[in-house]
Amino acid sequence: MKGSVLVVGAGPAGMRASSELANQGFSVFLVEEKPTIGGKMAQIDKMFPSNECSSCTILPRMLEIVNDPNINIIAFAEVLSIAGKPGDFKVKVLKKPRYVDPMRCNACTDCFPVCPVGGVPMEYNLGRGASKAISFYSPFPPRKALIHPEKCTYLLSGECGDQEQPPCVQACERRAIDFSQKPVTGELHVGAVIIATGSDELHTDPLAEYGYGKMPNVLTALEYERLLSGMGPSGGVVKRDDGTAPQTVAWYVMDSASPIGFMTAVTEAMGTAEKNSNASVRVLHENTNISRETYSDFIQKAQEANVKIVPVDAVAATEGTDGNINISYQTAGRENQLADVNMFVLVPPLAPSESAQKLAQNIDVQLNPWGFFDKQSGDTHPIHTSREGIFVCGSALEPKGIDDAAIQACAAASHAAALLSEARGTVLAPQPEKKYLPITSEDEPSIAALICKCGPNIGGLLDINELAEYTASLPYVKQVEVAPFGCGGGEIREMLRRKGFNRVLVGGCSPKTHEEVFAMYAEGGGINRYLMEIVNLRNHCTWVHSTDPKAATEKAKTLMRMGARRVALQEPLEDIHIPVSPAALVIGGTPSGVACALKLAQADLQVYLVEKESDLSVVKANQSTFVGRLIDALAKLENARIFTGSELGAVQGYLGNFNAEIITSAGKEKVDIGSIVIATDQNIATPSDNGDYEAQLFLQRSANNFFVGMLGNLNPLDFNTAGVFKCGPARMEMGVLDAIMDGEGAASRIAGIISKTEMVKSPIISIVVDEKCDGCAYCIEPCPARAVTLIEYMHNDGTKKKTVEVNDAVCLGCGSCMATCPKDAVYIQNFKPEQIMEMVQSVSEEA
Amino acid sequence: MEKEFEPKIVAFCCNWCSYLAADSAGMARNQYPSNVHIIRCMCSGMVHPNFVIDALTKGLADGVMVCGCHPGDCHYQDGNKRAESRSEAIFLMLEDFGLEQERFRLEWISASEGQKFAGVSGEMTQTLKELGPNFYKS
Ligand SMILES: Cc1cc2nc3c(=O)[nH]c(=O)nc-3n(C[C@H](O)[C@H](O)[C@H](O)COP(=O)(O)OP(=O)(O)OC[C@H]3O[C@@H](n4cnc5c(N)ncnc54)[C@H](O)[C@@H]3O)c2cc1C
Ligand code: SF4
Ligand code: FES
Repeated sequence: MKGSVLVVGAGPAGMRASSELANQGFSVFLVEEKPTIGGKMAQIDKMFPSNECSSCTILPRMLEIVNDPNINIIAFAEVLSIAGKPGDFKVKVLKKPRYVDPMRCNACTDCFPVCPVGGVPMEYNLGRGASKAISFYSPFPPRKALIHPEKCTYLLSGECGDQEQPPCVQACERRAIDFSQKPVTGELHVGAVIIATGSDELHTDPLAEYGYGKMPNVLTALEYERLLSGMGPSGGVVKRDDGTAPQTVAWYVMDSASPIGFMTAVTEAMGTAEKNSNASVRVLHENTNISRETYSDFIQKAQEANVKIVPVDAVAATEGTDGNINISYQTAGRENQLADVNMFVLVPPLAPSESAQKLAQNIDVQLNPWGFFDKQSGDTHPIHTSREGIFVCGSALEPKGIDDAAIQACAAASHAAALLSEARGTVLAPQPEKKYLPITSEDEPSIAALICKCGPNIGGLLDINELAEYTASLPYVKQVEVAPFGCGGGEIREMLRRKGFNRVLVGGCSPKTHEEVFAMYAEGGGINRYLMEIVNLRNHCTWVHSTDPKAATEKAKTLMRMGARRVALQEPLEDIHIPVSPAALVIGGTPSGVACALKLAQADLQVYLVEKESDLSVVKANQSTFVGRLIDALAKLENARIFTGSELGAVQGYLGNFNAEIITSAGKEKVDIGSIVIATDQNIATPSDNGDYEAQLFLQRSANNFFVGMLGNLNPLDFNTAGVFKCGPARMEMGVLDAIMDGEGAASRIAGIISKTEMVKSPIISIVVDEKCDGCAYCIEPCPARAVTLIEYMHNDGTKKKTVEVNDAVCLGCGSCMATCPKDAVYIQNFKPEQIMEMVQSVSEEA
Repeated sequence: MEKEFEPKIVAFCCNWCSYLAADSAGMARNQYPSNVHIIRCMCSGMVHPNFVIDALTKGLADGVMVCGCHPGDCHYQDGNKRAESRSEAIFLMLEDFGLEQERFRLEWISASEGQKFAGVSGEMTQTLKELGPNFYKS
């Protein structure tokens, strides 16, 4: 049995399934057919029902999986075949040529301007905007250049430019361009497979009936998203084909069976109204039924923002004057309406990804009549495909919102984890052993500084010699090296080989993209990663002040000065290790609760289930035979203990370390658990004579009595109290199958915590300086993690002292406490007020 | 000829949105004046009002910006709301110290809004050029 999983498709669902599995001790191959990851979520602007920016929400998740040593992203690739059986599959994967070596390309973009072939329509922008024949596919990872073979002169004719080598090859100092690349096939060995290939807009004849493809200002919803997006071809300014801003825009929702199209239209209309308050926006739809509370609240908000929602019949569109579109429709009141609109946006039904059919054939899995991955046999579990060991999630199964896709991804992960539980942790990347030079606060800082030219990106604008000389003059800087491409690591390794340094300062690219690599080099040289500082000379200086080399050099000096001062005050830190109680508590024997407990127990984890009724068969009797099967399966597993006729008493603790009292007819029993899930029915009020876990765990409900938790689209099962989850009808009205999926999704969230013996977290957390703290307790309320508590202790001389205490296990390091403290008594590690003020001081000085 | 006054500006940017916005400005080559210096913070709610007040009353900067995620987008739920309520106190303190309100600015800038970051930085620089140097600068 293999402890690794193949995930096909890197949209929000595939990405989520991958990180859930990696978090539970499995290694993951994530195969994506496009050159970059993110799926639709990387293309849309704002999301219903949160109205948050989609790419901003997904980008940190992308960086997380890019940096996860147990997730291997194979982008621009295709699955050719899957042989073998559950637990032991052999997968053939074909990697398409980029003609750029991703190991060498460092995204400097030097080759773009020299490429003579322009005007290549950008697929990621659905044909809008243009790039060179060498470009990035999208702004997202993996950020590696790519040559378009159907446009590249050299690939087409064997020649480009008048020199021996094509201009891009000459421009690339890192010699990353490789015209000899061919498609390569490789074989992966995995225990399970998850399909997450998503869906696409269905482009069929009816679109043309409404003028699509004939009238330039008729476009589809996804195309319109690109216009709204700040990363789109027009920088987030919606423009018609003649460059003017539309004042009237109408959306027509072509599919009323699923709420997704309608919600998409409403979101885009609202986004348009937010950008241009004078715009008149309306959404035409044919009686889409929206029952979900969060969705209907969103629609109401949109209506308050002047989005008109019009139920219609019989829509037609003809070409008007000045690029306008004349639309006619019948309203529900049978009135005929005519309107002249500047832009007309069609929201087509969502169909399976274009390549789904080919993939299904390649891997011998059936599709349903609509082409979605769904089985036709008696197996009613939505996540199973027709082939055992191959699961499906997200919109590859049917059109759905990001929140539901995230839940299904978690559920699919819990199925794979249950199947492969024996092999958990067997193929993980080895943890690099960290050996640091011992250093104490008495040791004087000794800084090794590296200035990276990033080719011409930094080196082409700044006076590098002047900058290097200046950096060498900064306090504690012992040596300065200049590197053409510092991220290759050669120079820094070489510098650290010589002893005597205890800190590293790098002037180069953004820490958001380069912190991990440089931390690795620092650690390789025996220096704690928290004693390394990256100064963002590229994104925050040369790229944004590119017309004024003198001013940019001056600013670069200031930035280096700021960085040197900060790093001198930095302290070496160790990750925080927190032991975890390896068991879970499920509250409620609903179908959701049972499904959750079953997946945990099948994954070889200890689970306690508490149900008020005297017998789980009460649940069984009122539900399908499917639920009955789950209950029977659960009863057979030894590591699941079911407490029927029981109630929950007092609950205490925090993520990884809760304890709870279970009150049975025979008495009280205490259990230690690492995580808790609420799987009750909606209307059960929890306070009882025995305890009030809702209050003890700080859980909240909506006006309609549903449990509510984390904001945003990606974590619908999470509460704000870390380690506590919700699933099933406790969080919103839903059918049995969805409730089961919810429970299985929660099982994955929980397994991510309790399948490990300890949690490892960042040491960038809050520290209380007891001598300064006078116990005013102002910092308690602002803490989003409820990590701060007021305590009182007695000095040796008998006097009492009040002070606050921070729980390392739950502190998020946000710094809200630091900003509230009137006594400077709380600080965040390596964000000390002194450090910040030193940086401010540095800004005021002249070089 | 007298050199034009070049204001010194400190911009506290949160790690999850605004710092990335400044990175995006770079990727898109959105140009802005070199007067703005970014200090990365975990959250806009991490910025103690004293950081802002000290920077201005000790004459270290001519202007200070605090940039965070849009309401609802804060990585820590409501750190930006806290920053907003603290900004009210900051404005009052500025008044007490006889400093112009324009020397402080709170902005919500998401990761993809590079252009907005550049725009706000440009505006802030312009405003401060018009206001002239911080009165507390020795
Ligand atoms: C215009 C539009 C607006 C939307 N707005 C919202 C919204 O505001 N809120 C919301 O909740 N939902 C919205 N949705 C729905 C949302 O996009 C989906 O819920 C979500 O993207 C589903 O995620 P996924 O990972 O299942 O699929 P996708 O996002 O479609 O990702 C699938 C991934 O798989 C890859 N892939 C496809 N086939 C293969 C293959 N054969 N091999 C390898 N890789 C493959 C694709 O390239 C892609 O990267 C919107 C959808 C559209 C079309
Ligand atoms: S840093 Fe944030 S999460 Fe940690 S104790 Fe302070 S306020 Fe709470
Ligand atoms: S993380 Fe950006 S404002 Fe809190």
